[in-house]
Order: sequence, then C-alpha cells, then structure tokens
Amino acid sequence: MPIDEIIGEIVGAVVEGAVEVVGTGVSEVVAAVFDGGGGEKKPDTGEGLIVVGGSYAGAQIAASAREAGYTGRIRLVSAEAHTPYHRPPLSKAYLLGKAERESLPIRGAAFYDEEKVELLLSTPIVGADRANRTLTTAGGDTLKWDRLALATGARARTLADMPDKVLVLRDLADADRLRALAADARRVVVIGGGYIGLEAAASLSQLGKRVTVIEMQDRLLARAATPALANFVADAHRARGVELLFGARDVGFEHYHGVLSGVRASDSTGRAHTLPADLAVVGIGVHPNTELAAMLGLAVDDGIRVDEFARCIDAASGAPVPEIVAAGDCTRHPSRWNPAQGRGLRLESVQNATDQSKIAGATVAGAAAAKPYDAVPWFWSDQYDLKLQMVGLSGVPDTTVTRGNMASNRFSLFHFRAGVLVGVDSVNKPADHMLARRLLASRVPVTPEQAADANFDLRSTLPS
Amino acid sequence: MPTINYVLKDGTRRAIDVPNGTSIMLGAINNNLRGIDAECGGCCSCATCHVYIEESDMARLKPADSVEKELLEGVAAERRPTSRLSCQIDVTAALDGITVHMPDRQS
Ligand SMILES: Cc1cc2nc3c(=O)[nH]c(=O)nc-3n(C[C@H](O)[C@H](O)[C@H](O)COP(=O)(O)OP(=O)(O)OC[C@H]3O[C@@H](n4cnc5c(N)ncnc54)[C@H](O)[C@@H]3O)c2cc1C
Ligand code: FES
Repeated sequence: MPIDEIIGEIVGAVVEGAVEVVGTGVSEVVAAVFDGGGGEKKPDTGEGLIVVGGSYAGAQIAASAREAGYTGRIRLVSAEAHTPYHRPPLSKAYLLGKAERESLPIRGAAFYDEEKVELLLSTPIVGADRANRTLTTAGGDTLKWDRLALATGARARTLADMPDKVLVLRDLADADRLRALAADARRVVVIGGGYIGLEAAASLSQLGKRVTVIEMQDRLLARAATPALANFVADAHRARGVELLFGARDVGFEHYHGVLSGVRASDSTGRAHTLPADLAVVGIGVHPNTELAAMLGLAVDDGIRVDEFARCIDAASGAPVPEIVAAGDCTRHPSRWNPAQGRGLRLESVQNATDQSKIAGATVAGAAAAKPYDAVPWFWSDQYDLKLQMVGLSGVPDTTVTRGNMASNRFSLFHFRAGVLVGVDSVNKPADHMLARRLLASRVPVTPEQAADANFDLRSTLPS
Repeated sequence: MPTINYVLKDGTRRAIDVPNGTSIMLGAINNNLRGIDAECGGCCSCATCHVYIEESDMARLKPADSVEKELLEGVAAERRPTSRLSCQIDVTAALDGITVHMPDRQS
C-alpha cells in the first residue's frame, strides 16, 4: 500500500483536493431544496424506509425519522449480528475488561419494539437498484423500499498478507478476538499511530504488554490532531513505556506456520527492523463503505456525497435524490468547518454520525422539518489517565496558545487561523472543551491573549 | 434489583428495576425512556446523559468526581446543584428507590 494511502485515523478530516465539486456549493443546495431537488418523487408503496447499517447512524436515522413524525414501516438492516452498540469503548474500557457487552447498546430492545423498528441482523446487503427500489441480501432475498437510508459506515483498512494474530479493530467481533488474543500475548506491535491504534496501545500497555507503535508519518495523529497535541500524546506514551517508531516504510509480517512471529519495517533512514511480536493491531484508517451508493447511481467521492439535508446526490445530474439519504462515516458533506473548503468533509466520529443522522431522519419524514447540517465537529479519545477532547477542525493553525499547565496534564490548546478561533484540544479539561463547543458554535470573537489568560473568564464572551 | 424512579419530561413516572452494576443511564436506554441521549455511551465525554437527582436522594449518591463536575458545566439544560451525569452513577442496592428527573433537553 502506498504510504500516502496509509492515513491517520478517526476524524479523517480529508482536506486535500481544493476543487469545488459542482453542485455542493451552499447556494446550489439551497436552490435545489426549493425547486424540489430535481428528482421526481415516486408514490409510496407501503414498503417504507429501509436503513442499511446498524450502528450510530442507522439507529439515529430510525429514531429521528420517528421523532419527526414518520409513520411508515422502518427496517434496520445490518451485516452484524448485534443490535447497534457503542464502538468507542472497544479500544478503551472493553479492551481493558472494564466494560462488558451488556453496557454497550446504543438503544435498548424496548426502543425497537416501541418505535416499531424492525431489525434484520446478520443480513449483509450486496445489491441495490434505484429504478426498481430494491435491495438484495447476501442470502439472495429482495427487499423493497420507498425510502432508503445508507448508514453503512466504514471498514478498517488492512495490509497485505496478514498472518494469524494480526487484526484490525472496527467491530465487536474484532474486539472479542483481540481481547482473547491479548490474554496470552506479551509483545504487541501496533501499526498506525492514529487514535484507534494509540488507544489500543494504551490499553494493551496497561494490561502489562510490551507495546511498540509504528507510524509511517514522522509524528502521531498526522491527519487528526495538531502537532502540539500529537507531541504531547507521544511523550505520554513514551513515559508509560510504549515505544514509538516513526517514518516506517515497507511494513510486513514474519510468521511461523501462518502465525505471526514478528513485524518488519524500515525506519526513515532505510534501516530494516524486525520487531518480535505475538500480536499485532493494524490501525491505518478506514475506507468508507460506498459500494451500494455506487450501484444506486449516486455520487461517490471517497464517501457518499450528500447535501446539508443528508440527501444523496445523483451521479449523473448532480441533483439531490429526495428518497435516499445517507449519514455517518460513509458520507462526505459540504461544511463550513472544513479548513480547506475543498470537496466537502468526511468525518469519522460519533458526533458526526449522530448529528448528521438527526437531519437525515428529519429529511426522511419530510424535508421541511430538516435544518441544514452545521454542527460543530467534536471528538474524544481516552488514553491512560488522559481524557483528550477535540472540538472544531484546526487543520494547520497559525497561532496556538496554551491555557492551563501542560506539565500537570490539565490544559487546553486554543488554535487560531488568521485571528479566528478554529479549534480547541483539551487534555483533562472537560469544562474547557464544553465551553469551546459553545464558543465555536456561537462564533464569538476570542483573542489568543484572552484564551491564554487563565484568569480571563471566556464565558463572558458568550451572548447571554 | 434496585428500583429507580425516572420522571420523564412530561411528568410521567416510570419505576424501573435496574440491575446492580449497571448505571442510571443504561436503565433509561434499555427501557427506551426518552430524555437521555448518552451519545458517548458512558465514556464521560458528551454530557448528554444529564439528570436531576431528587433533592432528598442526593445524600445517597457518591459525589461526582472532578471530570464529571467539569463536564456538568456544559450540559444543555439548566445546571442545578442536583445535576449529575447518569452514566457515572453506578446502580447499587443503596440506590433502591431513588428518583431522577429528565432535564428539558440534552443538546
Ligand atoms: C475502536 C474504535 C474506537 C472509536 N473511538 C471513538 C471515539 O472515542 N470517539 C468518537 O467520536 N468516535 C470513535 N470511533 C469512531 C466511531 O465509532 C464511528 O465514527 C462511528 O461508529 C460511525 O458510525 P456509523 O453508523 O456511521 O458507521 P459504523 O459504525 O461503521 O457502522 C456501519 C454499520 O453498517 C453495517 N454495514 C455496512 N455495509 C453494510 C451492508 N452492505 N449491508 C448491511 N450492513 C452493512 C456495518 O456492519 C456496521 O454495523 C471509534 C471507532 C472504533 C472502531
Ligand atoms: S453518556 Fe456521555 S457523558 Fe454520560
């Protein structure tokens, strides 16, 4: 895999490609809403809404459609055997054995009963047809829909020739395998210094494993955090005995009868290393699941393209398709938070999956109810005793000031571009994080001097 | 199993048996009680599981830790002295019969 494909992780604010894709500009979208979006609406046949994907986005679309008054049939179809569950603990409390399966549901069984959301689990969808409004399951069944929601999320990227005891971490099945293998493992190599890799490294190191993280870039969290935060995180890992290897090339695996024995990589000077390992975790980013969208003739650009109302876009005409929405990790949406203002934003976070799905659900129930998606992006990561909380998309800030004391592990970094606050990274400062969400959402002017002055009450800048 | 009394936004009371070792948040989620979003699933990161504890029951709870207290500063609804994050309240026999109230909003 080329190095430039081995990207960082969650909050994959993909900001390259400064080309404005025709049809996703705000004005086009607004115009399209008022002229009906260009696509003609077919009459409902009673088949109702099918949501493909049973995770944050899928569950939230179903819930929000009902909340916005949708009374049609709703089916939630998922490839997984489980009802929607929280993924973030899988690399944190669940891996540490501090959370169990029973503590993970996003919604309880009563939700699906009471809201009349039919669950079709262990049902991968392998085919989709827009003209006939059908889906095909892996078992060969045909499902008909009047409205469709794509909440297919993303899948973990893998490396070539992964022997036994090399895993990715995306779902509960992965986490169960990892937990079982970790019990007997002593030396673990984590490939990829993004959030998931680092959380796995932190948890496995807390479980007493010897952990090395190998990263292809010259720093951690290259795609998803500012260098200042990344350096702090790197120091935190080293201080707790985790080894970090940067600029890794040519990553490969040594095995004995198909079972991992070591991980090969050369460093930035070209020197080859072999790290003995009895377990390896590959955390090199994700691929959005866009295959069904492509089959449906919808626009796909490293993510299913949607407008501010979570409506998919017709690949040929560029017009929104009123009967098909998409939300969550699988989408790319127009966003004023995008530092590059380029081809729209693809986020990988619970916040995005939840907030975008609220809009998608309202759109399903009748577009008039839907407000354009404009929520402030935020994200968290727990590593050791560090609670990292990020808000906004800082991109490459030109000014960063620290509020609080880095040495005490309790501080926030306020990032500015051209004098405007664009993002805040907090470490063990949840109050700063919660406040920063409000500062960014209300777009009040805050100066670097005010942010750096711990005695200045930032709340005073907010409209009362 | 301890019984937790949830008072919904519209004033409805629901007495729910919530298993020991789970949380007040999970009791609401598992029973589809509206009013608790719990977006982070109990990671103490989102503040969308805010509840008000009945004043007379406050003393029966372990006090909030510093992370929870800070996060409470960011709840969407009014913050009161009885505000807690329901994911941080472990259900034990000692909590049998307590009453919690849903705030008017979580986001
Ligand atoms: C280990 C881990 C830790 C994380 N930690 C954090 C964190 O701390 N904070 C944070 O904000 N985010 C975190 N994330 C990211 C967060 O979990 C995702 O952003 C979120 O799950 C996205 O939700 P989604 O519903 O869009 O997609 P997904 O969660 O990817 O779900 C998609 C679902 O669709 C199903 N599906 C896909 N294709 C089909 C098909 N053709 N037919 C049927 N079903 C299909 C999949 O099986 C899956 O169940 C973490 C992720 C992982 C894996
Ligand atoms: S569920 Fe997120 S803070 Fe309680």
